[in-house]
Amino acid sequence: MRRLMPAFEGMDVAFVSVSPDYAADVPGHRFYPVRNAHRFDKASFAVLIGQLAWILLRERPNTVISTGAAPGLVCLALAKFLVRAETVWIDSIANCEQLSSSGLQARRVADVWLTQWPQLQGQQGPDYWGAVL
Amino acid sequence: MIFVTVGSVMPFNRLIETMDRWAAARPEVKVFAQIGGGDEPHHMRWARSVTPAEFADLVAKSTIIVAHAGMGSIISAAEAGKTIVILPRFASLKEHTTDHQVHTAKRFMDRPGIHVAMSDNELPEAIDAAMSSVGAAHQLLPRTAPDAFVARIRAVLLSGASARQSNQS
Repeated sequence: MRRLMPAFEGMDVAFVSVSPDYAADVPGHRFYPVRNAHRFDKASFAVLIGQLAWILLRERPNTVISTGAAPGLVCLALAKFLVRAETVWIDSIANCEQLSSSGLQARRVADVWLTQWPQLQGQQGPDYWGAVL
Repeated sequence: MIFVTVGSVMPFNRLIETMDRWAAARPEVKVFAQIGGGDEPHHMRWARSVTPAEFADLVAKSTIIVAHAGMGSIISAAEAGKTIVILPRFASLKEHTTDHQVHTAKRFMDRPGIHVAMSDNELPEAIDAAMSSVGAAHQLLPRTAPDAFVARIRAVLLSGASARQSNQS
């Protein structure tokens, strides 16, 4: 996401990450650290959902954009249904042979659903618009 | 100095143990390892995690980087113009949930500045190859995504914002 910073120039942006350290990468922007959660970790998931819901209700974003993984997917789903934001999923460039499992599920909650590898684009999506590299 | 990094997510003992043996055999080379949740090495300096600033500093000071096949490591090396050796995590060894690092390693193996070891046996040879290629100039990767991609993403963000404003008015 850091490599996409020029796309946000002049916009009011809040960042959410599972790594509190990344706050240093986005000086001058609001930054929210959240709990990391994997698919099978129900307790962390509950905390994460609470944190994300609170952030979304407070921020009321027009658009939510994520490169994954599970926390990003949860955030897009909440953004769609809680604050009716426009949602953008950019599947991680780490997935060059198949979409991530979060990326596959993102189809249902992403208004713009992208892969970063041309060989993974499909008739029904995801679309390929380029990559961060 | 060789900077070894496994990312923050999961331990990667196979890389750390291999590098620990390598460091024991090559005491003249300084090695620093970021080891995540794995076992502690004995023959190299190490930290479980480093901040993004420390990470950037270690990358800058390194001669080569030895890493798991994570995109964060690959991109950081390319942005700093550093040669990187990557060893992919295997799902079958419970080193990750999927084999996407194997796919990444295969996809990036022909790029200048990237040396791939598909198994830990191949790691010493890949390190030698990387060390001997140091100094060969490869282009620094710009720190931002290509303009065309940035522009398309920006257009989506701008249209989302304007749609919201017109709904509200």
